[in-house]
Amino acid sequence: MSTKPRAIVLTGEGLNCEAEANVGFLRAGFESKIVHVRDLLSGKQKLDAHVLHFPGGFLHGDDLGSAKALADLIQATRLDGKPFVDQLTQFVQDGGMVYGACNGFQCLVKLGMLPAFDGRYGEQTATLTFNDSRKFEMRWVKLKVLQSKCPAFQGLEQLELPVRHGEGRFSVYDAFGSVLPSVGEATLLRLFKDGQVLAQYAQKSGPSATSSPTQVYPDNPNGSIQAIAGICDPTGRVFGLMPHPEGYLNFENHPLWHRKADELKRKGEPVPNEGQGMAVFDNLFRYVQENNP
Amino acid sequence: MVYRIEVGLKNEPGLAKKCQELLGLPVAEAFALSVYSLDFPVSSDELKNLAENAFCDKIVEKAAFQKPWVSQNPFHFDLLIEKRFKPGVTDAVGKTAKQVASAVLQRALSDEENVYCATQYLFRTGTAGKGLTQQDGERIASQLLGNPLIEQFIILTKDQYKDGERVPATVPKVVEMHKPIVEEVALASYSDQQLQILNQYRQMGLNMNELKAIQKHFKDADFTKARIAAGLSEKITDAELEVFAQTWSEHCKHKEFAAQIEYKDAKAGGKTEIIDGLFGTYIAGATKQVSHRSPWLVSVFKDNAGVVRFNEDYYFSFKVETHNSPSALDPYGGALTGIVGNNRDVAGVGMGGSDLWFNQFYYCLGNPHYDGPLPPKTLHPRQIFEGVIAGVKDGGNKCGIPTLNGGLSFDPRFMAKPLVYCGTGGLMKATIAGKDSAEKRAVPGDLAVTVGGRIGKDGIHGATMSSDSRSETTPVTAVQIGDPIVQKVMLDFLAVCRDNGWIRGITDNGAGGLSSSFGEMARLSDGVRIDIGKAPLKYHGLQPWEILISEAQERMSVVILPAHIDAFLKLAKDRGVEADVLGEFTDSGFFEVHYNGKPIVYLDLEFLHKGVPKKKLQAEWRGPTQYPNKAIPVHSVADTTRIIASSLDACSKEWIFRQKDHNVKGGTLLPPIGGVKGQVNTPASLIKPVFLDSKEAVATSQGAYPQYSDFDTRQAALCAFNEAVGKLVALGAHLPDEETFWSACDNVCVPDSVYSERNPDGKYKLAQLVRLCQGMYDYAVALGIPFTSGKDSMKNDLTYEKAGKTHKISVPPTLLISLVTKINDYTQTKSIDFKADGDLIYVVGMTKNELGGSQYAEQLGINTGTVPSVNPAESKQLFNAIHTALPHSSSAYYVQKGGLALALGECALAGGLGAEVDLNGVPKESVVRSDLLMASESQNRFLITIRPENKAAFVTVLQRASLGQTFRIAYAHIGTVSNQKRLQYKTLEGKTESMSLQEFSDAYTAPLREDLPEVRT
Repeated sequence: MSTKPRAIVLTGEGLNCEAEANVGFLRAGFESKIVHVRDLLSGKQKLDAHVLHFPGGFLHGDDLGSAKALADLIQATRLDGKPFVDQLTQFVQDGGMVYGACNGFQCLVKLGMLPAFDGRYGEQTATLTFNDSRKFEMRWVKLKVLQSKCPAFQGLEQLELPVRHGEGRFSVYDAFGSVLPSVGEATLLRLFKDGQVLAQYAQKSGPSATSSPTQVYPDNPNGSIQAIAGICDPTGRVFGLMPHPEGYLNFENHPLWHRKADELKRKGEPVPNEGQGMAVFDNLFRYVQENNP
Repeated sequence: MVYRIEVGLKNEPGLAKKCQELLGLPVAEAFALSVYSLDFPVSSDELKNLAENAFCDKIVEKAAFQKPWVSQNPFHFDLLIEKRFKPGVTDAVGKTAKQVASAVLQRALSDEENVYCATQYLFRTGTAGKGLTQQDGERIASQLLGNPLIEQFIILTKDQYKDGERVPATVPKVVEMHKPIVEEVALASYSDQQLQILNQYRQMGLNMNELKAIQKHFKDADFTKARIAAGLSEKITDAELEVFAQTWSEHCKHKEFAAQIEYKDAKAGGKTEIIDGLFGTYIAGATKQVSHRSPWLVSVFKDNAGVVRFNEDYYFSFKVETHNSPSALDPYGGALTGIVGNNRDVAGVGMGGSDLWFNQFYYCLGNPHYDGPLPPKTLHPRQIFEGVIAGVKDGGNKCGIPTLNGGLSFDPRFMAKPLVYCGTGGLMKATIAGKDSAEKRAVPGDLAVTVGGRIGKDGIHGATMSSDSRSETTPVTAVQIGDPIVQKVMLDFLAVCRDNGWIRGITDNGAGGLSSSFGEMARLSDGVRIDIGKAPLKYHGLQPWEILISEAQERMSVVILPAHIDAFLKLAKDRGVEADVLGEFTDSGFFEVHYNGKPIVYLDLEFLHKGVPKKKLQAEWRGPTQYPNKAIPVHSVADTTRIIASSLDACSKEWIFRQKDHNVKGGTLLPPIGGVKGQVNTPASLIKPVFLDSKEAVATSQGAYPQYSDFDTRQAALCAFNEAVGKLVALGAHLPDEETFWSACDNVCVPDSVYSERNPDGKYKLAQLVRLCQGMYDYAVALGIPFTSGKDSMKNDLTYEKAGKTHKISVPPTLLISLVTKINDYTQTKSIDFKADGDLIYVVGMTKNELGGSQYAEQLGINTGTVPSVNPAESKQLFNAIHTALPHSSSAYYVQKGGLALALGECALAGGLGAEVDLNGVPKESVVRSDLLMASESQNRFLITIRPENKAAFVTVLQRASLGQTFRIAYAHIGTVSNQKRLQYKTLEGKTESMSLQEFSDAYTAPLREDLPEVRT
């Protein structure tokens, strides 16, 4: 087996960002392949990679709620006599990384792989639910990147990425739910205290174009509590976010790239090739390379 | 026994708001619960586990399963409405819930053991004492929650609930006890009258000539002998009648577009000309004319989509369809199946199909804000508007296909019949398994296999209905609901099989179902024999003919080599995709269908596909409509701009595009909305294949001018085509050459254009169609842009009886031109936004007194003047010049519908910058008023900004382009971009006027704001 960092990008059941995610991994230097989620759950495909990626999509058409059906199916899966979730946990404990974007993030949260306090993988303590706008929305957001345990976001301060979802509001309790508000608040505090928040939605424009987190729509596109856009587990190796790094691999993916290029050219500066989303893949590559010699 | 699980609650503020604003009901809050009804036995522990863990997100929801949610969690409500599907309507959520239940319970569930999904809505009034009645509930149900054609409602008021009434624990199961039978008809002995009765009774939609051609065929002695030998009789079976009805439908055979037309031009002294088919003469004819200049043409008109060469390794496929009749009946379902059906065309092209790359749409609708009386049996334009947007949205988003561009036109006549155009582009490897991927193949012995969703009664008679005028008796079975995820999973599976080289031919099951898909592919080997008893059914009770022609969604038919069938079926099973071998290809010359071994169809392929008699039609042109010369009242430049910017056609479509994913697949380089605040419509969009490292991309645009058709359809066609090209040129495209493909798709939607007593102006309407086709032919040939595919939709009328009189509303003849072209280096493209303070603003092209059908005149309700005219030779000269000049520019915009007023506003708003312009400088012919100058929709004009230092180079290119030419390209420097957020105009009247960007933006975003929330979630 080659020592090159390896990634598995899942597909199937309505996942739909596997092609561009795969390009992101390949460009960063990974040996990457697209694998059907059924082949993973049946054991036909072994978890023989450094990164397992749950990409964006519309798993089961959002029936039962976004990613809920796949989370249920994974929960119900046993492989070689053991729950599949236990094997996924083992994979993480052995140093493997599990990364979810958008629909993949929803799946990891509903499966209880995130935030997984105290290593309690498989126990759901947070969710991603309907946007406050009650609409599927596609727009570009600015993220304030926090100092977290997640290696994929190290060294980044802010990112501009697209969001494309109808159920992206990060939530830890709700008036109609079964979680006590005090329990929910404790979850929230702990996420920040333990460095498990990757990034927050930040103010996009206005006179003070700083990176302060915001609850104001549309800069916070879904009404996520504390503007949380992504979280990780206590190891930092399981992580997910609602925005799409793989949607901004090329500089020209940005809707205002003509303006940006024009500005740079007027200043006599070079126009970059890569989009900001590549940073996540590059960071992952570096981390895997450094930690798996 | 049925077990109910209720999960919730979801707050629905948008629904409450609609109850107040649209229905005037005192609803303060609305909520929704998801209801899962299990139609199989479960233990109480299992029920609890499913309710609390599998179907419920505990963080934000609670589940109830022993008693109703509203009783378990004491919750005050004034009205309860439960919405369920009618029997047989696709219940996607129920199907997913069943899959989950089976996994969680660790046991297989049979076809009879199902989960049914419903939604329960709860409404509260703000004030105590104010209640909601059963009638209020009925209004909410039918106008806001759903469509009675496919859904049923249970309505309980607070008092009824207090009195102990409950939602019954029942499910919309299909129970049909019919025994399958095949009826036979002794066609040979039928009188004309009997033929006509048969035609009506079976809703075949054929004419007498066609019926008699079939009758004659069934009198043929050799044919009869062959039938008897094949196990049938001399009589025709009901299944065979249906096969003819489908195959010979207008929808499938385009009989009117193929008809011989006697075209009389009353304007030219009654000169008469015989046109041997509009399609052959003008559409395929244009492509034939330019094909020698288009070496990148691969497969045109013969497949489900047009195929051109993208580069050495890839082909590009393109198709645009309309789905008008289904969208009129059920806007959501009609538009959804429109887009996913069109996706199947592109996925069903060539040997194994294209990968889907992007979607586009165009809607012609009534004003969603309309508040007058509606024609009978017509949904409110707001319902249609919201429904079609939601349908195309779900079709694209759920399948992970970016919606790259789209447009809308509004006219009151579209209230009676909306036009819903759905387009798709796809990419496929040029060579698969060593073979040209554009060619389908089948030889005797190859297997006929069907893949995907199950067959139900959905969409029966869809092909024949869409070819017929809408009437009040349109059957509800014509409505289909798609399940995009089933299609996505199927197409993912088929792509793997294609890449493995297992598929030799593929086509989709759309109009006409299996009868069309295998009836068509049978021509590859000259015969096919299938047994539809092997086809998977949604429920029992379908008649054999229904199985054969059902238009149930998400199905493809494929040709599989026998050597690969085991691997194919194994992978299908692994992926959870239904796949069944129905039979095999033959070289018998016959389309043979069996039902559980018994023959029910035995038809000569030659006759089936070529036997349809050619129609003969008459057209008479009386000249363009002359509107009285009415004066347009004078407005200030700012008011003119406001009037235009706030028209539905011109206004910002941000609200629509925000709901449609345009970034998925990672290739989009210019999305459908742009500008610094993301509000401005993008005239042409750009996308690359994410997996290629090269700078190759394609650009796409649309053009449609139904407004001009009332004046002259020829000009409407020329303007639509020219505008679509101009928008691409402004982006950076250059006209076709040997390296650069252009792929044009024409979609013609016209009213009934066949003269009869019931359609007395049919000759004129047909003449309008002829001129429309002539316009697009002339343009395509002059510019060298071939049509690669297209679709016509006839009979877009609504007929109804009122007070004993027949009324008819006909849509204006509407041509949508959809274009795609190759961009070799996308980093060299231009966008429309003003870039920097001090850039010079140029107008290129002449502004004429062409206000007929303009947004300005339409908004003021005045039909007057002339519509813009297009000289294709001048277009060509101008477009080549612009392409050469473009590298010197900072921004470029093709002046389209809405004229200079919209152009200046959109470019400024997109850049977040202002402009100071002197309208006296604009090149013009006989335009003396500033408002008319700003509002004129003359073609062949660009608004371009350049850096001051690029002036000499830019101007030189334009000057050189006119050297030695009779057509001189007019251009002028009219002003400067400024960082004041304000548009300032020096007018022809010697005044200085201004309007702030905010004022423009307010007008531009006013018509389609958040006030129109989503209907379905």
